[in-house]
Amino acid sequence: MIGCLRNSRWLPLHVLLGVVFLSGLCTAALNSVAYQWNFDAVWGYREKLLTGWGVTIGLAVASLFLSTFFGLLCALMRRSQWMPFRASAIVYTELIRSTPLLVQILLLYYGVAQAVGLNNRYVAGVVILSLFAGAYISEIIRAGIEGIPRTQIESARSLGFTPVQTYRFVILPQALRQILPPMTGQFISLIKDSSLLMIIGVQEFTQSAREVNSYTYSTLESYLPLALGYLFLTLPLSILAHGLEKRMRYGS
Amino acid sequence: MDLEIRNLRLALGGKDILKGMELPPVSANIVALIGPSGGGKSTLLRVWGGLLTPDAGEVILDGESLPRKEKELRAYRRHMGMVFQNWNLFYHLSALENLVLPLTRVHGFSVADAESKTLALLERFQLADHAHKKPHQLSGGQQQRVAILRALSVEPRCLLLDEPTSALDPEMAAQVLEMIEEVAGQGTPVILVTHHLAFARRVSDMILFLADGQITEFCSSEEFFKQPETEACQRFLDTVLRM
Repeated sequence: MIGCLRNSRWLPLHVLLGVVFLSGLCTAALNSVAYQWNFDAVWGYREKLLTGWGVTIGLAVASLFLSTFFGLLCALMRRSQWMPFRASAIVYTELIRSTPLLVQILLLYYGVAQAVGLNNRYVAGVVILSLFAGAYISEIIRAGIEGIPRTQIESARSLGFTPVQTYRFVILPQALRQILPPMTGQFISLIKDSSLLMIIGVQEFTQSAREVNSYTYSTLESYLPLALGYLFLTLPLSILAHGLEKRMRYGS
Repeated sequence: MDLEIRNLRLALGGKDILKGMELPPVSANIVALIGPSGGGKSTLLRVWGGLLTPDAGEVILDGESLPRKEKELRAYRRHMGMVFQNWNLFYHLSALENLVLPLTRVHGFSVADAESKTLALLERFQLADHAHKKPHQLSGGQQQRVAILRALSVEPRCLLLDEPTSALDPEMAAQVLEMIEEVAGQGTPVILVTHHLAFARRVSDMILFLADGQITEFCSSEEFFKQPETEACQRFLDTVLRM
């Protein structure tokens, strides 16, 4: 059994030991404050939690695609020959990266979204979240493109490729290998950051847990499923990122 | 192959690299560019390859002036075979795919035709066993040989080699040089930048000596090595040959 675990790729022995150790620590801490568990009250609201979890998945998946689009667009603009493109891309990334997401959500939702008549808070939420993640993704993509040796691009030019062909057949496939692992990390953040959308009234996972807490006064019982729910989404991505990092590395 | 250069000027990053370079009409099949680093050899080769457009002057190849518009330059580049010092092969593609991609996407071959042409070429140069390997699974010498084949596969007007062996150890360099010699012997014109003077002497029929953005000497390789005209050239040969 132990040997089998040691050889397993996804659950090495040291991970298991870590889990046992940390859960022991948590149990000890809770015992010392003599916490009275009451999962029954929370169980009654399981549907609410599940719906919230579903909404979070929906927000994350939609933002995943939109933020990748924003990120790619911004990275290409940043590499453009035309100065106004480059300048706006720089202003966008710097503004987004140097202000808190919370402030962006409030300003963009109550300011910009309302002004342009975008009243659906879910759609607005996805757009705002994607604008936020897009800035980081554009930097990841840019680093991926800039990491490609110059001669690769020169070779493509010398073979008579058009710029579009150079991007399609050389730059993007190569950059993708550099980009995928950090990008997966970015998506993990995206999933967790989506919880902030509750401040504009999006009924997502965290908001559901908060409401369940206020109905039942069972704080830990409400937030424990919350942690597990996020972990259930992010842990596979973490493992994926780890695997990708190994696989995408070139034997140089 | 007929070459001619008139008052060629080119600055890169605000620095003058080619400073009014002149070459009267000459005819040669294998041309070696030699000279101290920073003299403009690689830059001149990139101009011939259509990768850099001169700021002024004219470069004439086989009686035609090199185009200046990007679209015409791209068409021109399709018929020049360029090989750099390293990182030539697209490293996400196998050797075979590296050769097939330009044939199908740029030269309009069907995939089947491109593959059979490519395999025949790899076979001829004893590289068929490596057809499905990615560049990182090949030795540096094999990578360069595949890169030369990729340049050859489009049947270029001229093969341009920019220090193709300088990133290799002597044994691998020898294999690559051997291949270049074979290719040159079969009639494809070659212009190469090299530090292998013995090789340049044996293979080339014309030497261009570049220093400080000028062609300071051009003559048959035989004459060149017997008696270089300028002092700079003499000094260069002395230093290099002493090693």
